Amino acid sequence: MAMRQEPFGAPGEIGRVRPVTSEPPAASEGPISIPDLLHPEPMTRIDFENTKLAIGFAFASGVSGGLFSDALDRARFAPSTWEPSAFVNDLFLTSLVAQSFQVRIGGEEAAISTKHLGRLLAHPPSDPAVAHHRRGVLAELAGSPPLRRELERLFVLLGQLRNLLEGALGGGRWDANRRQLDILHVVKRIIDCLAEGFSAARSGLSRLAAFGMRVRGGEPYASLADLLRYDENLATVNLRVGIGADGRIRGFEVLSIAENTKNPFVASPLRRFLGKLELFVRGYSFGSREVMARLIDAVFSALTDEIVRFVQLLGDVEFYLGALGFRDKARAAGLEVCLPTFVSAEEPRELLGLFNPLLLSVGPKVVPCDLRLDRHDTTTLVTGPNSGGKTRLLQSIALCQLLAQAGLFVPARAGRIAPATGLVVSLIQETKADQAEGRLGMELIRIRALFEKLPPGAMVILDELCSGTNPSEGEDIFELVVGMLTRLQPQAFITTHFLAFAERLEKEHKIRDLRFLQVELGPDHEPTYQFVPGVAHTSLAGHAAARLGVTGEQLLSLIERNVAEAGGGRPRSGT
Amino acid sequence: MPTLLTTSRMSPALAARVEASVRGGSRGGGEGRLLRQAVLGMRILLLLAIVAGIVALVRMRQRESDEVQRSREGLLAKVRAHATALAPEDRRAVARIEPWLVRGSGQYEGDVIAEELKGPGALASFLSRPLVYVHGPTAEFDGPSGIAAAAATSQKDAFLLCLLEPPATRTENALLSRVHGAYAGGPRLEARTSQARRLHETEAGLRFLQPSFEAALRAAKDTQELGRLERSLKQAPIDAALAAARARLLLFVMDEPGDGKGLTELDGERAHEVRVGLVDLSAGRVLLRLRKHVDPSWISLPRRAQYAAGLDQCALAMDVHAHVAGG
Repeated sequence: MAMRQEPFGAPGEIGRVRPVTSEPPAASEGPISIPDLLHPEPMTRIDFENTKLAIGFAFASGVSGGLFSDALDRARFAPSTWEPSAFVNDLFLTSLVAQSFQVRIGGEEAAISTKHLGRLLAHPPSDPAVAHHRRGVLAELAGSPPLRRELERLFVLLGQLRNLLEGALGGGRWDANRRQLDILHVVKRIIDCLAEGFSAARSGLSRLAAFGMRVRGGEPYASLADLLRYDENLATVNLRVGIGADGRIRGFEVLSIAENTKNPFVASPLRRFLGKLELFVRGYSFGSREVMARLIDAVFSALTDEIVRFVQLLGDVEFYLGALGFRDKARAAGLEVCLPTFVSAEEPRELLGLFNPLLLSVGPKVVPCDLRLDRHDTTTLVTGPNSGGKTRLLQSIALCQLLAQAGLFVPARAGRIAPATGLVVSLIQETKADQAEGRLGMELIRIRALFEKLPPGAMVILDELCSGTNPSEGEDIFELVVGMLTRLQPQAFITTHFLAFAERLEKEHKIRDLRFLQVELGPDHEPTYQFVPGVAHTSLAGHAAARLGVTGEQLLSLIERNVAEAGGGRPRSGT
Repeated sequence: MPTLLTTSRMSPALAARVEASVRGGSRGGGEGRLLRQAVLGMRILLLLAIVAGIVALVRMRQRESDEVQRSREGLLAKVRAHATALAPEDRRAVARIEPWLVRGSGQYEGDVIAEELKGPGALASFLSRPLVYVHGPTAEFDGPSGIAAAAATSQKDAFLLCLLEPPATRTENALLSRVHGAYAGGPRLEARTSQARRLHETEAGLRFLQPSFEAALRAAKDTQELGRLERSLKQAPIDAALAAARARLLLFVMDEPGDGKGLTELDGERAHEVRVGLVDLSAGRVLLRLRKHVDPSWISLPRRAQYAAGLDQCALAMDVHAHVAGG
């Protein structure tokens, strides 16, 4: 498999949020037909024709059955070498999106398409320019509250359009014209918001302004505006109202009636009547409503292609507002996020203030840590006591890699990350009723599957490798796997409790590019949730047992209590 | 094809889309156009059906009107044919008769026997001419409505039969023979008294020859109303009325109330005074006016209960003949 070797970003600067000007200004971008916020080369990712049909049907009938969700859930993404099935479940990606990538407007949480967002995160683009593009948009949004407010306003308008089209409000059943005019009102406001709200943007957001300006300059938009004015102002009647001494209206006089004759939709009363008659002869209903329906249809038909773009745009907006929501949530917990600096694999890995985003919604105080390694393409063995944070560290590293390559904020104050060609995570070792093998067998099956689909330069995350058998035999397999992994130059992180074995590997240097991290212990031998170089000397299983109530004294007291409750005699003595 | 929904101020692109929308070419595509064509076809069919229904209704109404008119004309012709058979004065026969009856029911003016009745067989000769007969209580002949009521219940009876065919003797059995004939009624009685017409027949028949009936025929709006009038005309005794209208004699019998002291027989007969009149309508002269007392006490008991009235009437007729002959 061919690999792109160039780094995602210029090395040397630890990524703080800063304006990124990778996109040229709107003026030089030319006509924009697709308001794609996710890719430097605009692309249509939803099924355009089917979505167009669905929108036409929804506009006509007011019933769509979730056309936005359907279109977004089936959307394509930029090419990615990552295989979502290799990490989505182990990283609880769906939970992360649902709990941390929330969009809050005016203090209220807004509904977003979490499935689309989850799929988008699970497909980090292979082309570094895409991530660059997204980082530019995100950096500008993070640095410009007015632009963020405009994006939120756009999100609200797109939500209104979605509700009206999908009939979620249920108000259009009685008057189809009114519902359709309401939809056209929202469409106009969206176009106006795009054209006016993002004119100052310098990043990929400027594409919204270019798109909005292009649509506003076209005849369909002018007709849309004329139709809405026609709906609101067919004529002006000047009245003189007489008020009596008691304050009540005693009479009125029509001073003048002026039709809005400049509006192209305004016709003479005779022509309006003949128009109704014509429609009746053509098989339509006879009435003003049918005339308006034909005019609405004529205006809407020219805007359908643009409205289809709004469906995709909603998914893009959710992507960025979700990322900003993640940043807000981290800040609320006293944590910082950043857009990391992309470096090459030979350069040091630095993740400062790294935290596990899955813990943001769990409740306990999240303790960030600093992670430093001299290069990326190494295999790192992580040792330390139970409940010392090893598994959480692995999750954090993997999520950092995933979010960074998706072009989003990573859960770290600052970072330097080398892109990986893929991600394989094996953290969960749950037992299934129908599994064909025992624990070791299942683990070996996973190792086999890992090697079957692992590309060179990928990130590998393994928790407690070969812990399902006796240590002496498990160590042999462990050494074999680690030795083979190095041939693929992975960014590997593996936890183990084979402490003596790890110590031996550290001393022997038999396997090249092997690094060792251990959980730092405090003065009282409690884990500090920080990681330092080296191999741990103890897993402190006794501490964990004591913390969880599994000492000899604690178990004996439980036994005596149970015997007493059962009315029995003394428990048998034993060692 | 241009549409009236476009205006000159619309841009060409918008106008084209409006036309496409009206044609059904923008959304819905061919299916929408087909649907509207189907609707248009249905509307045309519905319109044609309505027009055809209206035409059929008009033609049906026209046929009905023609039929009514034909029926009306037929009935009018029939009525006019009957009417032309009558002299103008005969059409007023009832009006000509009523004053005589009112007068006859008033203060009794005394017996009268015209000279031309006094000769042998003179009365019988007069009575062989067409005459109008009515018999009823004196009190009912006080006006047109009372007369009509009395005429409606007045039938050809024993007095009429015995007057036209006097029995050979005045014995109870001889009289009873005539009474049986009168009570039997039917064609035989009709044949024996064919020259006499009931006043009711005159009234009932002549009503259909009056201008008011022609007006009703003309005013009839439909076949139902016209049919009802036609059925009435068919049931009307026109021929009898014509005969009655041409009659020049009026024969009436008026029963006075009586003193109420005597017995009343089971058939209602009791002792009372009876007025008998014969009027020459063309001359406007009373030929005969008599007041006779009838009393069923002379009748044998076995027959009195059932035939008292008939026997008294027949005896009265015999008395009239006897009085005229003795006059």
